[in-house]
Amino acid sequence: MSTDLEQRLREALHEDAERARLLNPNGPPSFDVAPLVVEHRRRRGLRLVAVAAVIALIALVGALTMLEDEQSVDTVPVTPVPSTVVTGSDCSFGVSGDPVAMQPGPVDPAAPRFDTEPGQGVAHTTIGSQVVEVRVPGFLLHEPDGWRMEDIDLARGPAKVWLDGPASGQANKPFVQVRYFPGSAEPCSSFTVTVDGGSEAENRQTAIDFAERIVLPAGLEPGGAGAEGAGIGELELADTHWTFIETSVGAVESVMDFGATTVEWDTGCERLGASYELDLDDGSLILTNVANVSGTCGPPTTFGSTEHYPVIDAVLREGRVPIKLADGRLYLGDHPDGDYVVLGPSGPSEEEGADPLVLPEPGEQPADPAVAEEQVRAAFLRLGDTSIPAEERAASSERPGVWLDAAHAVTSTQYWDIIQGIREQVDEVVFVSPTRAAVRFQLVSEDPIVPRDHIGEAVLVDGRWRMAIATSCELFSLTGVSCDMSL
Amino acid sequence: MDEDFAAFYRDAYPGAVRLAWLLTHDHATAEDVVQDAFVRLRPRFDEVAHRAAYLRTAIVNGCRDRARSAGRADAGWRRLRVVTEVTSTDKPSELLDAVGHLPYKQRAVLVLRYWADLREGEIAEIVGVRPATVRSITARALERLRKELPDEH
Repeated sequence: MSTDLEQRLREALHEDAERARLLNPNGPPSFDVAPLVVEHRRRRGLRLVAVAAVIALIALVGALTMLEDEQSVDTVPVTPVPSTVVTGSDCSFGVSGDPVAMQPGPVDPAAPRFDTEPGQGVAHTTIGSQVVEVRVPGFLLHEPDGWRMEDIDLARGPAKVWLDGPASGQANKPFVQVRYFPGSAEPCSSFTVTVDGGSEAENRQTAIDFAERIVLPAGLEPGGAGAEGAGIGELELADTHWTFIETSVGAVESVMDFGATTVEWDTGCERLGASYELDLDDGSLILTNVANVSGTCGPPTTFGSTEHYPVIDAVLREGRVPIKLADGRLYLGDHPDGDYVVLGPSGPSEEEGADPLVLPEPGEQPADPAVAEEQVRAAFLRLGDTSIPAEERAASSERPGVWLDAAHAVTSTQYWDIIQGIREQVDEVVFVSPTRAAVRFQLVSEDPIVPRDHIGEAVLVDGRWRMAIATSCELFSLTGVSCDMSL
Repeated sequence: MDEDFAAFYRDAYPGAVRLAWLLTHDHATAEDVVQDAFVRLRPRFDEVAHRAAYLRTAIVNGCRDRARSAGRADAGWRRLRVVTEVTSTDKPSELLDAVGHLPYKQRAVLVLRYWADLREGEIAEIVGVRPATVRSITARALERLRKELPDEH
């Protein structure tokens, strides 16, 4: 049923449409056998206009979830959650606060100050003239006697400061080290922060400040025991917008929009709305008065089927929905064992007026950015090169089996000949973490219905950069082909 | 083929121009986008299954490309000139003004839904988003209009 606004809008648009000036109000010019002659103005480049399918990617799902402090007001201002996450070991850890460029490994691998234990997470960064090295679990000091130790209290608990670490390492500098060993049996529950390059007082202050920012692995997992900085303690959902990233049964294509007191989400075929409250003590999202806002779930329409995602209905229903926040993502439902959905914040979106083609700010870089970028570009170009058999291209995808299945399906669509004529061009790669990159690329085609400019994502998998499956599936979905994430 | 294409042109042209007008509020741009769309459709006329959808999509994206080329990423309409045909109340103009200030994609979705009366799936394919996103865009656009026009509900 139309609202008053919708009815007025309908009337206004119909009335306004009559103001259009028709070049040939009495009928179009007759056509000769020769092509229609139209006077064209000079245009820059190809005028590409989008088709009802083929390829149109806007969603930045993965890349946008990496937007940290650069996020718009549409995203969730929750602290503290790690702005930087160091992965690649048994003990991944995060650093909260302003994003920091953590480099994996010790300060000088050729002459490390400390031996690296198996599975230990090690990373370092530079703050002015000072060098900070973090180890999780912490560096074991077997002979503490004789060194100057100071007892301090971090926000997370008691720790020690080793004030006169001896000159060592390639730079042969003394150091100050914060040592946090809570006495837990958890393998990744301790850490050390070692700082050199300044005076003792400066190194001490930097080490303590940095130690306060460390987010241990337990804090990186949703609902982890003793989660540090995770959870919904300070969650503000009002006026935030989210994109469904995954569910307990695979990927879905949906969105969820929170207002001040109401929330709306899409089930794939209809938009539902409800009133909501957050129970911070219980970790629940309370939904009431769930009702249809728009759309109808029914049989397939002419333009493709109306998808319906029962898992969304299973999770988002009247009553209490468990909710957790971790690593910038919302986990709703019984994660990880039951029905659940995972949402990532929607970044600045075109419909909100923001330029959808703006790449995110760079984050922590991979170990060798030049090599990584080359691999990213190669993966994107290879996947888009239909002159290469799909079976040979699939390895450039994050999920080769999923990609290949969808790629085969696309060949049966009416857009296959258009797709074959497309040439892909990678313009820019921005690494938002050592394992993720945002990629601006073009689809160049003679066909006027191919949208030219896009942003996608690349991920590091098994030591090789590949196109994120979310990027590929976005493209496939607009030809009517869905990715089967179960493959 | 030419007679078929000419017949299609005669049928589709008025709606095409009106669609382009609603999206740009610029007569010259609207005509240019429409002619460009027809010219590019013609070689593929026999191959395209859904010609009307193809045409609409070409127009929607042609208008968007024009706006971007003009450096107006969120290109709103140029200010509506007062037209004598407007009813005595200002509300239709205020409403259209508000629509004109919406981001392009929101405007396009509203036009396709409330003027062209297309279904969400059709709009999704034309605009290049998912049906869920069409619903989201629609909801946000209407909300934006409500905020800009406090008398509207």
